[in-house]
Amino acid sequence: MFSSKIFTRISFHKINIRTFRQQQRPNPSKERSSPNNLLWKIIEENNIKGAQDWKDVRTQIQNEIRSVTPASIDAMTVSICTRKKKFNLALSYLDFLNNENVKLNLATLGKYFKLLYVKGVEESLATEDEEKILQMYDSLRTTYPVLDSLTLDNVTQALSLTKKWKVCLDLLDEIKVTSSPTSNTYSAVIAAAFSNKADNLAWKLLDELIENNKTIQDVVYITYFKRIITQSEKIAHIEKMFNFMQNNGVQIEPENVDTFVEAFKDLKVVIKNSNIHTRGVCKCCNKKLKTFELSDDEFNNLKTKILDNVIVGKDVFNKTTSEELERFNKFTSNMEKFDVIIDGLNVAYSAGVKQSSYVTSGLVAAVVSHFARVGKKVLVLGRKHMSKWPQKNWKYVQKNATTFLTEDLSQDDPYLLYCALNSGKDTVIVTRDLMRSHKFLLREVHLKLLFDRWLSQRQYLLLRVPENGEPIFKKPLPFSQIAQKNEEYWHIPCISDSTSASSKWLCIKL
Amino acid sequence: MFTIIKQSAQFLRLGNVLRTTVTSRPAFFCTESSNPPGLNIAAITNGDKDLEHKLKILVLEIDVLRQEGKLVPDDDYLKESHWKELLILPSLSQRRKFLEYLFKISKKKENKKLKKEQKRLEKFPEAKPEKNENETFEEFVSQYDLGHNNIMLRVYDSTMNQLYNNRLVQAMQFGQKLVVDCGYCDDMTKQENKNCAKQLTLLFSENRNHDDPFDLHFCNINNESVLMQSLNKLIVTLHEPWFPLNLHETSYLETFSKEQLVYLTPHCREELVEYDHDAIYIIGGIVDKVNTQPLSLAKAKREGLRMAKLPLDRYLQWGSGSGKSLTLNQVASILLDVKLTGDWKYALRHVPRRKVVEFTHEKINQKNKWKPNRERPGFDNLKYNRRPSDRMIKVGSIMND
Repeated sequence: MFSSKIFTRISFHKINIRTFRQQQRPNPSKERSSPNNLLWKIIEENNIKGAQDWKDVRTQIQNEIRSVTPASIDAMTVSICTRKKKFNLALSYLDFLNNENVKLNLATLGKYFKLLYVKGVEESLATEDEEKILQMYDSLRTTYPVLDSLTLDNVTQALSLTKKWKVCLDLLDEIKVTSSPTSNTYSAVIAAAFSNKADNLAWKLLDELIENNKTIQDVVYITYFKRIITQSEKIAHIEKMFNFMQNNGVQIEPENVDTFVEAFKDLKVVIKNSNIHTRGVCKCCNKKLKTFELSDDEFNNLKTKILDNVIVGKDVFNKTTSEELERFNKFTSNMEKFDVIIDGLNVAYSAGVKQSSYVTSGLVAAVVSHFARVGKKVLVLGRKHMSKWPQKNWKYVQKNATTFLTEDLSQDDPYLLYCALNSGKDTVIVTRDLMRSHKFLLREVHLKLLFDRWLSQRQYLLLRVPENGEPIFKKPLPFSQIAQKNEEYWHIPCISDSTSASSKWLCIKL
Repeated sequence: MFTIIKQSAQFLRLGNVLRTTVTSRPAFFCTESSNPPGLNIAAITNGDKDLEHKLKILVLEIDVLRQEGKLVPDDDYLKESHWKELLILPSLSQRRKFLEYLFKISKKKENKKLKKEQKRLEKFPEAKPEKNENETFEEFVSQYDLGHNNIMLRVYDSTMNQLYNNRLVQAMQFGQKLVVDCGYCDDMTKQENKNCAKQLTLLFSENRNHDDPFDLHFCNINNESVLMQSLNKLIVTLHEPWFPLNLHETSYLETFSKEQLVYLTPHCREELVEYDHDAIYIIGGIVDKVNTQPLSLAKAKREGLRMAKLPLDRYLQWGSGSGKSLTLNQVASILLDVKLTGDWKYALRHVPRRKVVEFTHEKINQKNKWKPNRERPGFDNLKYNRRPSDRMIKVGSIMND
C-alpha cells in the first residue's frame, strides 16, 4: 500500500505559501493637493467670524486655487463647511452671498438643502429651518420643472425632515429616471417614515435599499429605536430590526458603531463591545454562537444558478465545450457523495507557479493523504495536463481519490463549485480561491449572500505544508458572521478591515 | 457673394442674441443655464418624449456637476454624439467618468492649440501679412516662396497613396492573406469599439507601409455596428470600390478552406514557433479592457479551427505590472516582420518596451554613452543633406586657431 513515505523526498520546509494581503497604498501628495483640501485650508487659516470676512477669503480662494472657477466656488465652499460640520460658517457664507446680491446657482441651492438636512439631523430641526426648506422647495419647483438627480438627492434628504415628507416618495421615483438614489437618501426617507409612524412603508423601502446594494446609514437605527421607546412591546420591535439584519446579512459600518450604541442609551438595554473567540464564544457573555445552514431550497437554488450562470453563461465555449459539459453531467448524475473536494491546481500552485512538478504534485498528494488516511472520500478536480505529473505522486492521488480532469483549455473552478454543491451540505472544499469572479456572475444580491455564507462555512484554506508533510489549513469558523440570538443575548457583527476572526461584535442583552 | 453670406450670418447671430434675451426667465434663481448652445434636442431624441425628459435632466445634471467643481467640459465642447452616448449610460458614476474623460481631452486640445500659437509667435513675432484676395497672376508668379511660385513640385497625398497602394494591390494578387475577425462588436463597450476601429486603421496603414504587406480581409463585418461606423469615420474611402481592402460580411469559413485557417488567440496553449507561409492567420478584432473572457478561444473551439498564440514567453522576459495584451496593429506588425525575416526576436520589437525587462539598462547605457568624435569630418566625403559646408569651415578654422 502507498504510504505517506513517498513524498518525504520533498523538503516541505522550503515551501512557504505566500499570503496575499490587501495593500492600501496611501497617496499623500494627491490627498494634500485636492482642491477641496486646499479650500478648507484657506478657510481654516483665515479665522472667519462673520459674513463680512468672506469677501477677501473668496477672492483669495479664486486667486490661489486654479481648479475653483467662479461657477463652482459657492457650492464647493458650502459643501466643505457642511462636511466639516461647521454649520454657522456655511450659513454666514450664504448670508454673505445674499448681501452681495449673488444669485445662488442650482448646485449651491442643493448644497444649501444638504446643509439644512445635516444640521437638522445633528441638532434637531428648528422651525424656521423647516419653513426655509419648504419655501425654498416651492420656489425651486416653480423655476425648474425638471430637476437632476444630484439636486433631487439633496432636496429629498432635506424634505424628509419636514412635515411634507411624503413628497419624498415622488422624488425617489424622479431620481430613478436617470440614476438610483444614494444610501443617504434612502436612509433619510426610511428614517422619516419611521418617525412619522409609517412602518410598513419604511420596511418596504428597507427591502428596496438592500436590493439596490446600498448601505443602511445610522439615521435609520437612531430614529427607529427612538420611535419604539414609547411603544408597549419594545423588545419585539428591537428584535424585528435584528431579524431583518440577520436575514439580509447586514453588518454595522465601522464609523456607525458608536452611534448605534448611543441609540440604545434610552432603551434600558445592556449593550457591550465584544469580541468573539475563534471557538465561537462571546467574550462578554460566554455564550456560543451558532452557524446558519442553508435550507434545502436555498441550496438547490444556488446549485442551479451556478450551472446556468457560471458554467454555461453566455457561451458554453468560453469556459468549456458542450461535449465536456455532457461528460461532466454524466459524472455528476451517478456521483457518490464526497466528503472532501480538492481544487487540484489551486493546491498545487499554492507555493508559487515556478516550483518543479515534484513539489506541486507532492502538495496535492500530501493534502489527499491527509484526508484519505482518516477514511474520507476525496475528489480531486483539475486539468488534463496533471496526468503528466511525476507518476509516483500522481498514481498515489489516483489511487486514493476520485479525479475529474477537464480539458487544458477549460476552467475547472465552476465545475468544482458545482461538484461541491451537488455532493451535499457537509462537503468540504479545499482551495485558496475566494471565487469572487464566480460570485459576481450570480448577479442577484440575495444569491451572492447565500454563496458567501455557504463558502465561508465549507472552505478549507491551505496555509502551508511543513516538513512532516502534514498540511495545515485555515478551517472555517464554527459560527456565522451574521446577527444572531444566542439564548437571551443578541450578537451583532461590525465590519472591520481585517478578515480575522477577532472582528468586533456587539453583545446585547434585551 | 461671400460678403453677402457673411452679413447674413451676422444677422443670424444677432437674431439669436435677441431671441435669448427675450425668452430669459424671471431671475429669482440664477438661470443662466438654459439649454446649452448647439444642443439640438429634436435631432438627438427623434421626438421621443421620455428621452427628451431625460435629456433635460442630464443637461441640468451636467451643469450641477460643473458647479460642484467636478471635471466637466464646456457646453460648447459637447457634440450631438456625446449627448447620445450620455443618454445611453445608465448610472451617474458612468456619466461622470465619461465627462471627466471628455474634459481631459478638451483641455489637452486647448493646451495644444495654445502651445502652437506660442511657438508661432516665437518664430514670427510680427503678424503674418494678410493674403491679398485680388492678387493677379503676375503678382502671384513674382513671389518666390512656398505656396507661391516655386521650383519644388508639390507631392500630393494622392500621389503617395498611389505608390503605397501599388504594393498593396500586388499583395492582393500574390501575397499571403491575413484575416481580421470583426465579429466581436457586441462584446465590446462603445469606447472599446472606437479603440478597436482606431487600431484597425493603424493596422491597415502599417501593413501598407511594410515592404511585404499582407492581403487583408476584414470578415464578419456589420456595417451598422459602432465599430464599422467609427472605422468609416477614420477611413472615409473605406467602401469605395477601388479601396485596397477586402471587406466580407460573411465569415472567413465561407471564403477560405478550413485547413489553412489558424486562429491567433492568446488563451490557447500551442505556440506559433514556426511561421507558416501557406496558412491564413486570423486575428480577433477585440479590445478587451472591461470584459476579459476568452472570446476568440471560444469561437475557435466552436468552429474547430487550429489555434496558436505568439511565442511571447519564449523570447521575452515580461516585467510585472502591465499585462501581456497587445494591440491589433502590434500583432499585425509582428506577423509582417516574422514573415519577411523569419526572426522572432526581431519581429517582437513591436512589443512595447515598457512591458519587457529583457531590454536591460546596459543596452540603453551603451547606446547613450558619449563618444568623443575623434575624426574631424573630411570635406571630401560630404554628402547631400549634410550640414552646410561653409559653417563647417568656420568651425574648423576656429578649432585650428
